[in-house]
Amino acid sequence: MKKLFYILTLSAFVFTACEEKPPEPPVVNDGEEVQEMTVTMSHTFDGADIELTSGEYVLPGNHIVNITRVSYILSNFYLVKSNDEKVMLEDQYALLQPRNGDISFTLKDVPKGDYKAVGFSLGLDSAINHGDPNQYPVDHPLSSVNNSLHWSWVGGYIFIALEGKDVNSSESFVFHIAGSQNMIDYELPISFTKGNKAMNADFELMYEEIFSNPQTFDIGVDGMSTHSTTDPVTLKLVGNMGDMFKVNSVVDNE
Amino acid sequence: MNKFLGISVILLLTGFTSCKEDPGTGKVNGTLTPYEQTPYDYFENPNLPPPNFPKDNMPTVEGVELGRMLFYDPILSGDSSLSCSGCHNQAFAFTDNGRQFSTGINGDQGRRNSMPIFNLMWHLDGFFWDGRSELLRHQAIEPIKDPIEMDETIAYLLVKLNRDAMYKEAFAKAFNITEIDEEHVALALEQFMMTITSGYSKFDLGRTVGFSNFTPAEMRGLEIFNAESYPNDPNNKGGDCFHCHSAPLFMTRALMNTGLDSFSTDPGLEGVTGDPKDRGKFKVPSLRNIEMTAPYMHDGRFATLDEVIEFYANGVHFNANLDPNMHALQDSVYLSPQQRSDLIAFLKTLTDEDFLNNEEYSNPFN
Repeated sequence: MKKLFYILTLSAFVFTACEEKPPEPPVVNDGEEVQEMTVTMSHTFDGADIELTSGEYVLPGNHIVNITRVSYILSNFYLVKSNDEKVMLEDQYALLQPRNGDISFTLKDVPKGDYKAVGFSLGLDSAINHGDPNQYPVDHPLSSVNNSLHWSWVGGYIFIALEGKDVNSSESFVFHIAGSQNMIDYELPISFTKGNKAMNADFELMYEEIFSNPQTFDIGVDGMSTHSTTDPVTLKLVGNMGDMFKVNSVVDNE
Repeated sequence: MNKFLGISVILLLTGFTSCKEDPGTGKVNGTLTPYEQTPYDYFENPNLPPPNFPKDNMPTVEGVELGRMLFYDPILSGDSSLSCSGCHNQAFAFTDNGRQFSTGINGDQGRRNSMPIFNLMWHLDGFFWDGRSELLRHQAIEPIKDPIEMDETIAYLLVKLNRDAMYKEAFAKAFNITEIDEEHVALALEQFMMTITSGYSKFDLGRTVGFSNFTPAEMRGLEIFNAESYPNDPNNKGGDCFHCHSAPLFMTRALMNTGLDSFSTDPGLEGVTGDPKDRGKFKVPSLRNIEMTAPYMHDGRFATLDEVIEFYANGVHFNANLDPNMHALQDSVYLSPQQRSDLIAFLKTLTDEDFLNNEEYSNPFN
């Protein structure tokens, strides 16, 4: 009986040794526990989700348009704690390109704490912008293979590409915003307490803002194309992009 | 031996060995010892993105060599007369010897131009001109079955391969299988084709030396290639090529309608999605080795690069699905004869002799 007990115990030990241990939360250098935050970006026009290619939307000047592409890069992520301490999330980037199904990204190494704001940039700092895109594996947001937002080795990345068609005139609009001077910084109010659990956040890009706030942008008057870093079309669009993002919710990942 | 001790030892051995991944079906050449595959030693080219081999079919020396054999072996066709290489000749960047359409074993012709084979590991939006095969392994099987191409049934192909001692051994060494099946034929072909890369052109060298190796004409062509076209500015007429053909791969992910026709008789992507808004959309091919891949476009309608440039300068047809990136070109772009000549001179710097003559990609039966 004693031997049988021993064998059963040994069996249990041997076979449970095969089981994978549950992953432990990652730990930053100072021993603080960190977790991930998965952000899902909604792309909306007047509050409704954009249907690429088929949806029809009315821009200023009564231009009814199809939106065929919205692709952009976010960088320089940070969080602001309730005590104003800034938590930098270094070397993290996000590629949002709904036509390829890329509508979410994961911020890693978010420490515990009470937070009141999130910050990020649309676009890239100069050094990264003009770095070699071949250094990134294909699944990296900055891989030119993945994002189709890179202007070869001369121009760096397109920070945001907005493309579509005027349904009535069938003219196309193509706005490619690039150039480190056109990087836009955002800091959005956000209120959550980060505990031990991973979190989900719901952000939103409000497309109509780009053509209305603070200045009206009429594609029939202001222009239907830019690839320049300095022309009036770019400057006006960049000026209108300051309020196009908002945070809807941050919740624990149940 | 003490019976109790024996049970304990057996238990320990079976318990811990059960943690290991099953190495394969095992029984090869009458033994239980599976072959070990040697990882393929891919030389990472700094002119290209990091390798992107499929994680569930990482190339091995044995798998790549088997895929190469299959690629060059006419056994894949119904009458054993036509191999993949019959329509994908390395000397023409793996296109069909300058032909507009390829001819199958029954004398039938296809309706689309044979596509080049290189840098395929970085194609993220499917294969074939209409992107209908999500993975290269899916694409690899289609021409074999197509009645206007190789016209072979998979069932009979497998009969032929399974009775061939050379292939039995090669599949065993590559995949540890004793019965050759469709899946592993596809995986072997995928492994070989994924390893074919092109990134040692004059242009690639030029990037490392500030283009000091370029002639004045090639340099002017590069500038035209990368310059915007402003239809209303007569002094600023670039070729606007780089938006859709940017380095390092000189292609883009999306399938696009470039205005070849007012209404495309070939459905293109619409044939895959059923969406009329996808009519006339095709993959954007790489411009690497473009000198070698004539004729051009999905249907090979343009015989020369001059004709292609004339199309983009003056021949874009407006249609409802025209890609917005063609906006600047739809109103015509003026390029002088000298500018066209310079642009072609630049395009020819994308020819990669190392790739065209690389023995690792050549016929293993020669």
